[in-house]
Amino acid sequence: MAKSNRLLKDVLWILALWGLVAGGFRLWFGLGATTNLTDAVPWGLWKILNMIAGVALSTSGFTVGFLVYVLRRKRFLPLMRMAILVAFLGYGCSCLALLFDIGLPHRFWHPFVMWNEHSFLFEVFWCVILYFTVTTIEVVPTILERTRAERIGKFLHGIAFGVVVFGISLSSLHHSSLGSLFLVTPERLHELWYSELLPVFFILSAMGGGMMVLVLLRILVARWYDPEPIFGATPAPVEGAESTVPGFPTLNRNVRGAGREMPMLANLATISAFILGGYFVLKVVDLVRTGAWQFLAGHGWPGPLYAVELLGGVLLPVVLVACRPVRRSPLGLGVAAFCAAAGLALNRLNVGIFGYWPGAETTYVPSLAEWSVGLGVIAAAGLAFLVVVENFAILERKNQPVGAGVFRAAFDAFSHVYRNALNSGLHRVSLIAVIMLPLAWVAMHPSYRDVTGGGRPVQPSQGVDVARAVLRIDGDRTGLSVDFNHADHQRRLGGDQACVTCHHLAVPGDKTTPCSRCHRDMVDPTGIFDHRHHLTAVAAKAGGHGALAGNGTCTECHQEGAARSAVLVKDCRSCHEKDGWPALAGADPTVDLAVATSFQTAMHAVCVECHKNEAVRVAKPGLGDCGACHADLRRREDSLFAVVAPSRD
Amino acid sequence: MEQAITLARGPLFALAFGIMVLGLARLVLLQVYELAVGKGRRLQNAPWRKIMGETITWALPFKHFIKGTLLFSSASFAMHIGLILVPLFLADHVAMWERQFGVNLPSMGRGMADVLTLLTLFCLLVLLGFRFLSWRHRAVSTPTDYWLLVALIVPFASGFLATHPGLNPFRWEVVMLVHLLSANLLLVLVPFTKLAHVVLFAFDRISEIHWQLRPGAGDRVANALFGSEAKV
Amino acid sequence: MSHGETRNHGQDHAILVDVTRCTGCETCVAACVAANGKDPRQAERDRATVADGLSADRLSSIVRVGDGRFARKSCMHCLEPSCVSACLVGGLTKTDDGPVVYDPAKCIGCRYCMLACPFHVPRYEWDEAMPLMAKCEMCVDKLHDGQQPACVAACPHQALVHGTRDELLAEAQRRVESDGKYLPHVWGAEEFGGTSVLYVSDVDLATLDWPADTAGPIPHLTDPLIEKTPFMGITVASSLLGLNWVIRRRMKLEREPETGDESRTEGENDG
Repeated sequence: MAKSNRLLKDVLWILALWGLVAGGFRLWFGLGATTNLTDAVPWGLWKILNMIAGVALSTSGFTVGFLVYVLRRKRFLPLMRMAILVAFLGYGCSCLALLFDIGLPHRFWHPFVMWNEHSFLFEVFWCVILYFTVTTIEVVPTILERTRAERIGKFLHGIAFGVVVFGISLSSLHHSSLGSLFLVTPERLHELWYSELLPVFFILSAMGGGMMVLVLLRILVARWYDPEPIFGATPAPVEGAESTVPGFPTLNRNVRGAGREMPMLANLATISAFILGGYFVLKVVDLVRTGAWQFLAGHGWPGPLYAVELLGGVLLPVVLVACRPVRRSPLGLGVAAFCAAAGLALNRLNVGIFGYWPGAETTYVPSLAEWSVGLGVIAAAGLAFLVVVENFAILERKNQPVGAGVFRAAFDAFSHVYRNALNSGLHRVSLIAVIMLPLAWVAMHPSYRDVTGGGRPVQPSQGVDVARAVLRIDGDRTGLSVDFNHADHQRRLGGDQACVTCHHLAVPGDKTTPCSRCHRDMVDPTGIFDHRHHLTAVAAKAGGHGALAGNGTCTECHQEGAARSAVLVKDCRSCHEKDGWPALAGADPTVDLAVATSFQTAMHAVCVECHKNEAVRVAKPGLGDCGACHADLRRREDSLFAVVAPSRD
Repeated sequence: MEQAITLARGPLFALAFGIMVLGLARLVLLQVYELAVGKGRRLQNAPWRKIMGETITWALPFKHFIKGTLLFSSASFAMHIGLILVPLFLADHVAMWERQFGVNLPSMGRGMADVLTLLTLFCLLVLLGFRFLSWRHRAVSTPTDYWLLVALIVPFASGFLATHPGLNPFRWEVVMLVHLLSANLLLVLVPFTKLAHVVLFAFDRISEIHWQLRPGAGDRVANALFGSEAKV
Repeated sequence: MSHGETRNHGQDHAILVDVTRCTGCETCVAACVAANGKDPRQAERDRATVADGLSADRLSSIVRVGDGRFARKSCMHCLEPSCVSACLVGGLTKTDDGPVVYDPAKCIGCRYCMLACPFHVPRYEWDEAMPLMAKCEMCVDKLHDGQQPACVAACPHQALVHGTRDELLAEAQRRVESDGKYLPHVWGAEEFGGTSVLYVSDVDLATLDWPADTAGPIPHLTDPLIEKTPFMGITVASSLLGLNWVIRRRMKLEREPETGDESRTEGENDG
């Protein structure tokens, strides 16, 4: 009856290996090169998905611990070890992801010795670390069972009650504090999610959703390993009935056939449904109270996202669990639990990512590397979960994966060695690694970004006839432009040799040279007006003197009492009526450009085209490469991003 | 077309090369794991000197001359020279190694490379001819043996055409792309086909003696090697 | 650090920005880049690519706030800064004489300050493998040497004025009242509990992320909660113990008439 989860394990391995490569790149190249985080969106997927949602999803250790140890509801005891394992792995995976997220991972220990007790993040840090320690203490006895170190485990088990109470206190603090983290951003977080009640919302939803995660995992583990406690003792299908849902035995519809642990799971789900129900009512009341309900119909994402989260992720599971037949069938309960878990995750993503989109005026979409690390860490936790389930007594007994005993040793032509039960896992995982590691490397290495992800190809020339064209440049993009006489600049700066003088002023990575590069003394950096020159010239004309001469004559040009800005000044032509640039006379401004093009762009059409043609003609492919001219360029990233500094000799 | 060439020469090459290196490393590790875990005890008594000697004699063609497979053996041996040297030391390839990995290799002359390439192509055709024409070879050949030879011929032939525009009847870009893609494919094939002998040849003799024979064969081999008192 | 209690900030160093005098020449920015030892070429690039011109290499910028009106944007040095209360290692401090300063030796790179700042001022060195945060520190070393901040010293149009906060508040009030062109408001006097950088202007300054209505200090949103944390923790723990005791006692009493032995072994197991 049990179904093999080998495909799932393969997928988890693939995700974990991609995460490994992406994490390596993150540590080596830094956050900017690997993530899509910016100054406008400083917190991304790793904090929101892995830490905030991950911690919320693994609340079960605290809630089930409360039920079993404090309220002494012994019927939930069979779930206790799994609940603690989920909490341990969930918190461990959050901490691991955070090490990739923070800018200086080697300083992770700073909050231990450097305190700021006014910071909610500080409180969250301590609670999470302490709670992680608590779950470790609780998990260790299970792992040490039947080993030489069993006595340590027994000692730890002995202090379990005290540890559990300590852990519950910590949990109730930090789950609400995670919500309080967002209290400091009233002007950024969307009104639908911002509320002073965020801490209350966070702890209620985490308690309800966390129990549902445990329910879901218990049902899945039963499906993969030992179906009997959940799906019932008689695995024979109902006679003549076709399975309507692939993979789930038809038997499950027969309520009486359900296993002995089902009533307990249904009971847990009911408790969770009561909490989620209260959460739902509170959310609705708060929505009306703050008046944020009007944003539900507003344009854009927030309204629909909020509706999906609250209706599909909270109300739907509550209603499902309320239905007796649904609650009693493993399939129905599984679906309800999945909805609640997904709703909880979506809520955290909404509060942490989507709710900031309107305020930040940018759309943050996590990069491939961010997804890889985020999901990879979760996949690694999933693998660890399966390993523990298969090898230790998390449930009533150890669980061997399906098909573990029926392996037949054979010579594997693909691997060139004998494959047997002992090494078949090694074969499979190493094969996945051999293919996935290079693939992940190529897909995420920053130097391949240009080839694999659009990038910036070498631009062909804009086709400007520089000898005759008058360029119209609107450097500050205000709609007011300056006529730029290219030929005149070229002539005055030295003719044919002068290209480099302007175009090579572009620093590596630049595409353009702003006018202010030469005209440093302009009032507005991208205007063309020489204020200092006018200051002295006008002052001289008006009879002023000395270095401060201009101060007395501001009103020659600027209106008295008006703001002294470029816009409010006298029209140039009121003084320069007769002046005109001879070169411009009669020439029609033909080309609109934002700024002067860089040397790269200006010259490449001349060099590159010819080089490419010649490369084909004389069959020397290297001739068309950047390295043909720029001998000191090795790596791709250099050849595409950088302009070589001009040689001065 | 040009973008495809850039893609094949940059990321695709890195991908194929990575898969080849990791794949071969995996094979070696699996072999060592098998030998160490599965046959650990018995390996201690393995005749290492004899194994090495046999591996070397097997790799060189001289022994085969006497057995009357002169043409086939020498074609097979000569083919390997160009197969190893040209991809590594042709000037164009040296530039590629440098661009991809920053490794500086000495480069061979164009004339030398041409000679080696033509020799390799000729030998490959001879081998293919044997497979097709000699009934003895046909009898022991599987489909892989044929198309692996073709997979070796394509990158060499297209590479030769790409560097000799005078002889090339096709568009240069097309030939270049075929060269790059077929070479990348070849790299990927190495760890997953019998081409894996680039590293596994070192294990062949160990394997043969210790675990690639039928049940009971080990005892007989041991008898032959060490006399009747030997135990496996 | 002075949370909760209200220190008198009258003698703090402060800067007054008069938008009507600013011509947008960015001399102050150039001086700022030089004073902080940043790369001017990188700063120039950021001016073109970042919307408000602020970056880890450009700690102040000129923002166009209206037609022909410019304003300097930089750290406002709030009297009760959100970033200071947010930083979990206490890497940001409000000094006793005004500036909000950053200690790079403490920073772990969590970027909560960037999320917490209502003016979006802190910027991050995204391109570094070992990045730090960067923001204006009001040239705190120059202040201690008795000099003006670099930007104030550089401004050719007296659009920036340095002084104590009380002086500048009075001066701002005087300007606003004496000249009709000013909008009747001194930005920074009250917003988010008051700032050490004050603005007077003849156009609205919402572009600089000033709140539309006077908002209170951001730490006041979290401080009342966080002060209760130890109390809450103790309450929760003791009520858990109490609850457990009551339930255990009740169960024991329920069971006692039947079998006394069982309840005792039960208790031992739970230890």
